[in-house]
Parts: sequence; structure tokens; C-alpha cells
Amino acid sequence: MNLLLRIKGLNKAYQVNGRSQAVLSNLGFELHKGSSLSIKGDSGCGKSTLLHLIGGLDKPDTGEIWFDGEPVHKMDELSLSRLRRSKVSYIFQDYQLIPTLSVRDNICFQAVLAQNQDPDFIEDIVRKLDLKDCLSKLPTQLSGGQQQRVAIARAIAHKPQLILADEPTGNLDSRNSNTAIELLLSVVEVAGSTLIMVTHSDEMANALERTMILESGRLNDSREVSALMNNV
Amino acid sequence: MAIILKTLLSYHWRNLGQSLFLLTGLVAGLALWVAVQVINETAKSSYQQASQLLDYQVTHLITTNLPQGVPLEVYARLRRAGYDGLVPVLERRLRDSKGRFLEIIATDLFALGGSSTKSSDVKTEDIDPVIIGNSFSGEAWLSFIQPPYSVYIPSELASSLVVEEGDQIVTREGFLLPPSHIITNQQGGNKLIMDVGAAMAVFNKDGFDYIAVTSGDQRQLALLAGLLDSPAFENFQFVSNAEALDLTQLTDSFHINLTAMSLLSLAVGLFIIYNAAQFSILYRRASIRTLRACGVNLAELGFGLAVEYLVWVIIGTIFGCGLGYWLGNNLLPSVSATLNGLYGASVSASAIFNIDWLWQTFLIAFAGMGLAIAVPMRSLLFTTSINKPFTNQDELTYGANWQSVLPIAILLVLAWILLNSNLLNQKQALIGAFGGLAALLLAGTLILSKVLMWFVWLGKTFLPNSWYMTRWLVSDIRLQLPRTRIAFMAILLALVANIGVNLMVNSFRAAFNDWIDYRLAADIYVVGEYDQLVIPKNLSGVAALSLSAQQTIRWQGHSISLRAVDSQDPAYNDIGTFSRLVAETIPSDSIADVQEQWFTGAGVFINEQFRHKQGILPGEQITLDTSTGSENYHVLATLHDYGNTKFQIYLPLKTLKIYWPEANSSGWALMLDGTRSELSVIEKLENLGVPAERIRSQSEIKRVASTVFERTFLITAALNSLTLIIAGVSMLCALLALQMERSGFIGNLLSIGLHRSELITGMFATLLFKFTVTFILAIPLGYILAWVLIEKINILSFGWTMPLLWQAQSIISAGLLSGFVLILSAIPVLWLVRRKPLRHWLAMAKYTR
Amino acid sequence: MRILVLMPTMLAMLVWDIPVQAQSGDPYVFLRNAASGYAEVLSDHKLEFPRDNGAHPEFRIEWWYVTANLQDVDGSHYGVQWTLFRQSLSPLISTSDEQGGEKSDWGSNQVWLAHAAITNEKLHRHWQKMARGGIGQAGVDAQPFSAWIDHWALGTSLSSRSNDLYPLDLRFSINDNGEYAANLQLTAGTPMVLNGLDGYSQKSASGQASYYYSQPHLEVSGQIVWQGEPVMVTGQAWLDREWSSQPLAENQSGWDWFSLHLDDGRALMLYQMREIGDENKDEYWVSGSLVAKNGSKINILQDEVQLEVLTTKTLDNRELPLRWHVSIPKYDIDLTIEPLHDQQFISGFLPYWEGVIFAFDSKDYSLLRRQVGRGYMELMGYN
Repeated sequence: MNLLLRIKGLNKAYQVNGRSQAVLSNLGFELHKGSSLSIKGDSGCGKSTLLHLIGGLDKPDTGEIWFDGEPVHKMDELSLSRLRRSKVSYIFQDYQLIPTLSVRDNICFQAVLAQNQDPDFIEDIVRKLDLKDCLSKLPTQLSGGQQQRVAIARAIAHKPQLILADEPTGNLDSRNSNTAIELLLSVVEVAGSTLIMVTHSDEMANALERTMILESGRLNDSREVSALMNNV
Repeated sequence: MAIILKTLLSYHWRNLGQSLFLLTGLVAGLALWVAVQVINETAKSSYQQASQLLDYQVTHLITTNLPQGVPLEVYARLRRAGYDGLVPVLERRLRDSKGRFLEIIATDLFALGGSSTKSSDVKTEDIDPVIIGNSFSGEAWLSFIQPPYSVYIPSELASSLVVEEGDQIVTREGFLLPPSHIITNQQGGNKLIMDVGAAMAVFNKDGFDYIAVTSGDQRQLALLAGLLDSPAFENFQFVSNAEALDLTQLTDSFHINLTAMSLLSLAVGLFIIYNAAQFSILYRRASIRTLRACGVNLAELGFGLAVEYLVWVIIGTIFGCGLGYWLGNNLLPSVSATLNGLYGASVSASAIFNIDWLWQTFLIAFAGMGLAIAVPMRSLLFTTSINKPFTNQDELTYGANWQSVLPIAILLVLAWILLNSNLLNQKQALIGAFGGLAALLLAGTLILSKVLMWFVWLGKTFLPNSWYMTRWLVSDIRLQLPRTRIAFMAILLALVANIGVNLMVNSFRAAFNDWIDYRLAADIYVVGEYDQLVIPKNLSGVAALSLSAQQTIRWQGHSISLRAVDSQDPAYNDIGTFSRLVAETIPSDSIADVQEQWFTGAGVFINEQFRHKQGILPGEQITLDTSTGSENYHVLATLHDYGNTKFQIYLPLKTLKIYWPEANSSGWALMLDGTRSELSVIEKLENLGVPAERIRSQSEIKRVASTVFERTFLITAALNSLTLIIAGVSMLCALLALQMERSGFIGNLLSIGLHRSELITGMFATLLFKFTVTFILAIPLGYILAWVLIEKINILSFGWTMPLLWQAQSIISAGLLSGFVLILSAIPVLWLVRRKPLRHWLAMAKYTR
Repeated sequence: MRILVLMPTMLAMLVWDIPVQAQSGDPYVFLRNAASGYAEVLSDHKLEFPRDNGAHPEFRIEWWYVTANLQDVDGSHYGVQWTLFRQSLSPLISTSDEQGGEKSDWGSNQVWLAHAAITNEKLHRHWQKMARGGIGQAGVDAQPFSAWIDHWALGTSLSSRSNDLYPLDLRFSINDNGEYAANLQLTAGTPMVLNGLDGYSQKSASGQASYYYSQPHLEVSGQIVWQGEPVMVTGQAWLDREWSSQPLAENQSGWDWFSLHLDDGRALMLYQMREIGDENKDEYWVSGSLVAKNGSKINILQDEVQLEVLTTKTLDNRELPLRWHVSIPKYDIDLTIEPLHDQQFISGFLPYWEGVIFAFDSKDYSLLRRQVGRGYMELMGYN
């Protein structure tokens, strides 16, 4: 079956000053393998939270998350870490590279954990992302764009089934952003991964197959939204 | 797993300096602990060597009140009657020309080793020439027992006395010891060994001091006791030997004091470990979250961190032990000299090594590191939301609730109980006193945080709204506290130790100097036997001449000293001087009466040892064995006797002469009339044939006494300073951690226009404020520490006490030193703030998110 | 009170005159030291009694030696040995008239060593005492005879008629995880025997000799205590007295000595002086005395006796010849000698094997062969 991700009735709330504030409310959607999805929404609407829940970085209050037929919402810590190790990877807005490891080590890091290193593939990625000259440097010695490319390379290197990108170009200028997205999409295609990307940018969003909008804790298909908007 | 470990350890590789801090704290704290173990155990091994006797303890002694000592016939008779394990002994405690104590033990080596060997398996091949080196011939024995005799000196002792093979030591008492023979083996302990026959000839004695009973056979002991009770042995006593314990007991106090210091240092060292461990986790917080996000599970992460810390513990143990051993070995000669001066105890000047220290140090480091990382690890690893940024939210509620006051209350109660308990055993009482102190200090450290929060509240409540900067700084203290409170606790402990010990030492010094002035009221002292030297009474320049004598007797299993002076001695003659010597146990208006009674022989004075250790007070009776039998003496007063750790009784000379006619004269005390200088009187004495080494001037004695005094506390001072340094290092780690955590905040402040100098000033001001509060809290705690040391521990340790003097100078000097250390520890961080560009702070921020 | 640690044997090393012992590991070397300065044993010297029962401090080494073969009421065998050794560490410059020829002072050059041993059919216990001379702790008086060290003593019994040496009382006791003791009375039926030529007992072709007399026919009765249990015993004993300034020639390694009470009433003493190296095995100096029931003595000459080792055993890394064949055809003696048991070694500072032996007719091959004699054997110098 082609379905990679199925989410049903997802709810998540946070405690703020003693009051419970719902972030995600009865959220549900499906995603097929090999597809790409962008999620848009206002600041603070819960986009990052959704990504964290999908990737097992956080637990939902209620609801179901099925990843390739497995119930993420029921997984224990060990299973979640296995999930994150080999099947899902992240690209963070602030890159979250390990400052004391070299670029090479950062790139290979997750692949080594997943015991899925393909040196040819990694070299290809490095070349595509133009990181050949930076391999021995430390992250603190790189520009923002370079760091983001390293973060992308790390996320891709072990050919995960799902890549979760949380505003990957949020800290870059438009030129670098475009470059980064192009590269991201090209390597995702090479790796055969499915991509979910949180972004503000319409341009970024349009580069992906599908866009959904997160508002009031729910996710709506953008075509439906625009249709609705057009009909008003 | 390898990649996880590599990632975790890469932090240390890239931040070597910070990692070294962790190691420094660990190593420093452990090293001091190990150093004290080295000192204590080497000393104890020396005492044990000195008191060991084959498989047996010397449980009893056969003593006599006969002036010539125990005669040979008695010894031979007892041996022929079948009593095993009897050994004749003659002991002398003399001083060489430099004033160093020499303990001479003279016995019959044959009797010691040659009687009733049990039937087993001493094979010829097993014979190991231990004590005598390689000179095995009847010649060795004959030279030992026949004139000119030999005195055997263990090689270590020989080098410390600078004595070579064949040298003859001349003692201050005028004895020329036989030629020295250096023996290689350390089983001789630190004593000079002579044959008992040789000793009797050299010291002109017809009998032994006593016969030691080494056999543990209960039946034989009972028979011997019965035999010696019979009329045939009426001049002999069968006494149990309590003195074997005395040296250990006396020095126990010294060693317990050292141990307490080392534990304090260890505690402070653990603070560093805590801070440094915190710091290392803090720095890697984000990386650790990334690791988890990348799929490293808890077990793997936990294992990796555990391996990392285990590596630190092992490295810390090895270096801590190594450094500690080196430190202990280097401090040992000083300690050895101090113990020799204080107690006459002989301690080897080269350290032993005990393999147990390795695993003990390991356990301490393990426990310390475990404690240090437990809390931050827990919060880092066991969170449901892995990627949630860490906030100080929980810590901002710090200090508000009653649950944090409860431990303080418990500790204070515990301290009160321990310090006021009446534990019978001296050692228990001493440990109890230290335990009470520890509880008190711990309560103090917990109170510190409360006090600081209270100041924050004061500031928040009462500072005018327009004082923006001040209000911000005061509130910032609260934010700094979680990161720095442990370090300030360490500073508090170090300060309290410094203040308390300074107060104690200064009080002691004042009392001691005062006391010496009265005790050594004469200007010149001549040591020697009356019949060997003659000093004319009408010597020019001399106003008065006083004779003194002394005798050592046994009392209730202890060796006690009787000191007698004639009516000319100014210490007892002059009422003003005398009243200074009297400990406050009799009303001041009866001092004159008491003095008069004493001179008529109506009673005796005792020193404070009797009072504190045996509970004997003025007005009571004390029974002493004299040459005519037992006599009861009325105790008239207790006298101060600083520096004397043994029991001493003071009598008028005529009383001593009547009841102990065999007593040795100690010498003369000369009071000058001022018509001639001290030097010229001394020259006159030398012209009269008085050997120069027998003449002491008061100033010289005082100088020597002061030197011993200062040396005694040198070690404590050294340990105190080291503790302060360790506290400083702890503070440095804390400040580094703080600046790292608040990098973003610092970056923000600089971004919005705060000048670096303003920021530095603010940081320094809050630091200084916290230090001031710490210092103020340390003062009463330091005073209490000094009080406990003087009123409890000193009495238990040494048997005497002194008034506690309040000296602002002690406190101020401790404060200045600590303040200096604090500033030194702050400089690196302030320098960082001054020098690092803004982007550095903003860049650092994301790694500690 | 603090007294230092000394192992008794280390102390002994200090004292007992053994110059190169540490290097060579040979505890017997002092027996070979030249007699320079000490008195010499002369062939024409007449022994006088009771004077010569006492000590001779002008000679280097001397001993008073008692061995006893005993049985209890059930017929179980026991052996008792008691020896007092005296050594002069230096030649006396002048002899003194005082007790035992020593100066009674702490600087005496005399040192004393005593061994006591009790053997039963399975076990062997032995003890050692040492004392310096000159202080009364150990010594020997010639008349009335008394040899003592602490409370161990061999001396003329109080019940003896004046001037008689016998009966002798032997007393020693020790607490060694249990009490051991001997309280024996020794009575002589025959006069004393002067071994060799009137007490001049040569030990080698080069002239080493000692003054040596024995009392072979001693009847013993009394009590021994074994691990706290008293045992009444009777039997026979042998007293040896010997003194010399050089008991061993330079080329001699030690001796094998036998004393036997034969069932026919004779007493036999034999010794063989072994040499260093095995080349001259057949030419070892052998001598002995055969004492008739009435006390008359015959000297056994070297070519009259054959001593042959039958069995050698290794004990404590020493090869010890424990079974022997003794043949003196001239006197119709053909014996197999066997120890009561092997482990009768006296270890310690001066080690040697000394134990109870039984004699059997060499031609008696029966399973229940009969003892024809009993005594003691001493193997000295096996290293």
C-alpha cells in the first residue's frame, strides 16, 4: 500500500499560565509515499508542534498517528528512537548541527546511527550541495547557508522514508533559500523520500506537490481553502 | 555506540580548557583527601611499628618503687620460675644538641625474640636478615653488649639526625651515646635501640625501668599477678599498661583534625565537580537534544554519558591519587617535625602507600560525580518533549516554600545535639563534635541562599521604581542563583574555615605567649644534675636562683610527671605571675591562700589534663605511689599548661625530695638583677664550667616554643588556603556556566545598547554583593566554629583550653583573601564579556537553548 | 611503652656466630670455624668429675644432651629429647672463677640455646629457647649439677645423696596451643662412659676432636604431658656430654649419630663424620662405643663397622637417610634401623633431624619382626 502517513483525530494542548490552550484540534490527514507536502499557517499556530508529533519528538494528547502502518502514538521510547533513527529525519530552522563535530561527521551522523551508510550516495549529496570544501570545518566556521545545506545533507544521507523540514530556509536570504529548496527537492527525489515542509513562503510551498493550511488547530487543503475563498 | 561516544566526547576535545576545569576540581578535591590519608596512615603505621611486639601486646608491666629500678635477680627469678614473655626494658627520652627528641629503647634482644618459639616452621631458608643488615657474626652481638657498645639507628632516623656509622650522639642531658650503627630495616621504627646492659652502664643505672609482660596467656597473667601481690614482692607492682594507648590517643586528635580539613576540602572539591559537570551538560544541551532527535535512544544516551563520566572518574582517581601522594609526601616532613615537637612522637618522614586509597578515591569520585550529574541528567533525559527549549521556569520559583526550610531546621537541631552530647569515649566525642560542626556548616550553606533571596525580596519591595539599573541588578541576582549558589556555598565554607581557624589560632597564640611569659619567668635556665654542676648562689648579676627537679611515676596506668621547684621560682613565688597560671577553677580571692598552702606542702597543683581527662578538680584527693608507699595529696589548684599533652603535677621541691628521693634534678632558674646583661651572665656560667648546651635563655626558649607553635598550624594554614583556592575554582566554573547559559541574554543586552563596561560593572556588582552577604554570614559561623574548636575539640584533643579572643584582623584578613580569590575567579568571565564580539554571544545562544 | 618488632630468628642471626650464613645458606658453617684463640682438645687431657659436668667456656661449643625412649602403660611409644647448647662468641681472655666460668654480667660472651622435643607414634613437637649468658637466665652448675634455661632444667634430684650426680630430674614445659611437658627422673645403673680415648673423641684424620662422655644406661620414669593430657611413662635414656672448639673439619659436612639400647642389655653409640662431596663415601670417619650391661666399654673402630643407607627421603627439600643398615660383625651386630616416623626434624635456627629409631635384626624378614633395640638417631648437616 502506498500510504506512508495517516493521522486521525490528533489533539494537543499546552498549559500556559495555568490555563490549557489547544494547539491542534481533531487534526487528520494522509500522505502517500514519495509525495511532498507543505504546511503553512500563522506564527504560533502549531506547525512545529505537528512536525514534532509526527516525528515522535512529542506525544499527542489524543489521536492516532500511523506511519507506514505502525502506530506512532502507541510507541515506547525505544521504538520512537528507532523511528527517528532510520525512517524519519529532521531539518530544523536553526539547523541544530553538533558544534563539536566536523561537517563530515555531522553529515554522516544519522546514517551511521541508522547503519545505513552509502558512501557513493553521500558523496553525491555532498557534491550536489556544494559542501566538498567544507568537510573538515566546524559548523561555527560556516555561513548560515552552508550550515543549512549541511543540515539537509545529514537529514538525507541515510535515505529516510520521511523528511520533516521545519522552516528550513527561515534564516536564509531569498537567494540562498531558493538554492536550498532546489537542492532539497532534488536530493529528496534522488533518495526517494517523502517530504513535509513547514514554511511561510508561498514560493516554497508552491514548489511542493501539495499545500495544507493549519488554522484553528485544524489542517485544511489549500485548494479547498482557495476554492472557498473564491466562492465568498 | 561509537558515534554517540565520539559526539559526546568531542565536546571535551573541542573545549579542552573547560574540561580541564572539571578535571582540576576533581583532582584537587581528591588530592587533598589522599594527601591527608597519606599523612595519617604513615603516622599510624609508625606508631604501630613502635608499639608492636611479635604477636603480643604489652598488656602489663612489672614496675617498682625501688630507686635503683627493677633488679636483675627479680627478673632472673621470674624467668626461672617459668614465666614466659618477660622482657627487661629501659627507656629514655632525650634530646640531641639540636633539641630533637631521641627515644631510646633498651632491652634484651634475646629475651624479646628468643624465648619459647612455638613449634613450627621456622625454616633456615626463611630467615631473613631484617633488622641487622648483613653483619651476622657473634662480633655484632658482642659489640652491641660489650664496651664501647653500639646504638642501632634505623637509616631514616639516622639521615634525619644527620648521623653516620660510628658517630656518637651527645645529648643535651650530657650523655654520650655509644657509636651508632645504622640498620637498614624499618622495623626498628624510629627509635634508637640499645642493649639493656649497655644502657644501664651508659645511663648509670643498676636496674631496669620495668619488665614488660608480652605473653597473652591469661593463666600466666593471673599467676603473675598473684605472685607479685605476695609479700616477697612487696616493692613491685603488676600494672596494666595504659600508656600503649596514650600516644595513639594523643595523636588521634591531630589526625582527626587533619581528616576534618581534608573532608572539608573534599566537599569543596565536590562542589567544583558539580559545577563543572553542570557546565558540561549545559553546553551540550542542544547537542543532546539533536542526538535524541536523530534517533539515539535513552539507554544509548545514558550509557554514553555514563561511560564519559566513568572515564573522568578514572582519570580523576589516578591523577588525584598521584597528586595527593606527592602532596602528602612533601608535607610529611613538616608533619613529622610537628608531631615530634608536640608529642615527641616519631613518624617516618617518607610516605607509605596503601592500595586501598585507589579504590576509596574512586568511590568518592564516583559518588561525587554521580551526585553532580544526577539532577541535570535526569531533567535532560527524562522529558516527554524532546525538542522543547529549556527554561529556568522551575528555578524561578526557587526559595519560596517552607519545604526548603525544613532541612535547615533539621541540621541545626542535629548540630545542637551533637555539640552538646556527652559521649564517653574521647574519640566518639571528637567525632561527634566534628559531626555537629559539619551539620552546622551545611545548615549555614543552605541558609545562604535563603538570605540572598531575602535581600532580593527586600530590593524588590523597597527600592524606588526610578532606580532601574539597581532594581534590574537585584532581580538578576535571583536569576543567577541557580547557577552560582553551589559555588557560593563553597566560598562560604572556605571562608568559615578560614575565619574560624584564624580566630582559634590567634586566641591560642595570645594565650600561649601570655602563658609562656609567666611560666618561664626566669631569665636564664640551666639544665643538669645538681651534683654534676655547681652554680654559686651569689653569682654576680643574679638576683635569685631557683632549683627544680622532676620524677616520672605511674598513676592509674599512665606515666605522669612530677615537677618540683623551690620557693625562689618566680612562677609560683610571685602572686601576680602565679595567678595567671591558675586555670579558673578556684575563686580569685583564695589564690594567695592556695599559693601559701602549696609552699608548705599541704597539697599539689595539677595540670589541665587531669581536669579534662580524669575529671579531677581542686578540693579533691589524688593518691600517688612514693618510695615509702602510697600517699594522698590534696589538689589545691589546676594550672594552665599549654603545649603539654601529658599529665603533670607540681610540688614544692622539699616534698619531692622527701617522697621521691631518687628524683632527678632538672636544673636551675636564674633571675637577673639587671646589673649585668644576660650575655655576660651566660659567659660567667660558661667560665664556671657549665657546658654551653646546658644554658638556655628565656628568649631562646620562647623563640623555639613559638616556632613549634607556628609550625603546628602551618599545615592547617596550608590546607585552609588550598580549600579557598578550590572554592575559587568552583566559582570560576559556575561563572563560566552562567555566562554560557545567558549568552543570548548577554547578546540581547549588548544589542539594545548597554555598554560593555556597564554590563561588566553590573556583573561585578552583583558578584560583590553576593560575596558580601556570604562574608557577613560567614562571620558568626566562623566564630561558632572557633568556639567549638576551642571549647570542645581542643579539650578533647589536647586536654586544655583558652579564652576565645575576638580579633577583627583575623576576620578581615580571611575576607580579603577570599575576596581576592573571588575576583581572580571572576576575571576570566569578565574578560570574555569584554573581549568577545556580539556575534559570539548570539551564536553561543543557540547551542544552549 | 613501645618495644620494637624482632623475629626471633633474625635476632638469633645477630647472635649465633655464623659469619657467611646469609650468603651460603649453610647453617652449620660455624661448626667448621677454626679454633684459633679457643682452647684445644688434647689427647692427653684427663677429664675430672664432677668438675667436667659443668661448662667449659674456654671451648667454643658444648652441649648437654638427653634422649629417652619411653612407653606408656598401653605400650605406646614416645620419645623425649632435651638439649642445652652453649656457645662462646669469643675466646675468653681469662677464665673466671665464677659460675660456669662466665662473668656474671650483661656483657658475657656466652649464649645459650635449648631444644626440647616430644614425639609420639604419629606426631613430633619441638621447641626452642635462647638466652644470653651472664645474667642467670641460663647456665650450668657442676656441683650439685644443674643445667637450666628459664624453667627448663636438667639437674641432680634433691633426693640424691650428696655428691652423687644421679638421679637426675629433667623438667620442661611449654604452652603451645595446649600444654606439653616432661617431668622425668633418670637413674644410672652403670658408671659414665668416656668415649674414644678416655674421653678424647677424634672426628677426623686431620685431628679434629672433642671431649665426649656418655651415660648410656639410664632408667627413666615419670610423666609427660601431651596436649594437656598427662601420660605416665617409663623407659631408657641416654645422656651425652660433649665439648669442642671445632667439631667439624673444614672438609666435613656433618655427621650421622646413633644411640641404641639393645635388648641384650648392650648399648651402642656410633657416629659417622661425612665429608663435603660424595667422593670419599667409603672413607668417612666412623667411630663408636659398645657398652656392656655392666658398663664396660669397647671402642668401635672404623674398619669394624659398615653403615649403609637403605632409604633416603626428601623432607623440607632435604635428602635425609632415614633407614640404615648397621653391621658390626665382630660384635655380632647386624641391624636395620628405622625411625618411629619420618617427620622428626628439628627446624629453627640450628636445624637437624633427631628422632626415635627402632632396630631390627637385618635377617628378620617376617612381617611381624621383633624390635631388638631402640634409641635415637641424629642427622646433622643435611642442607
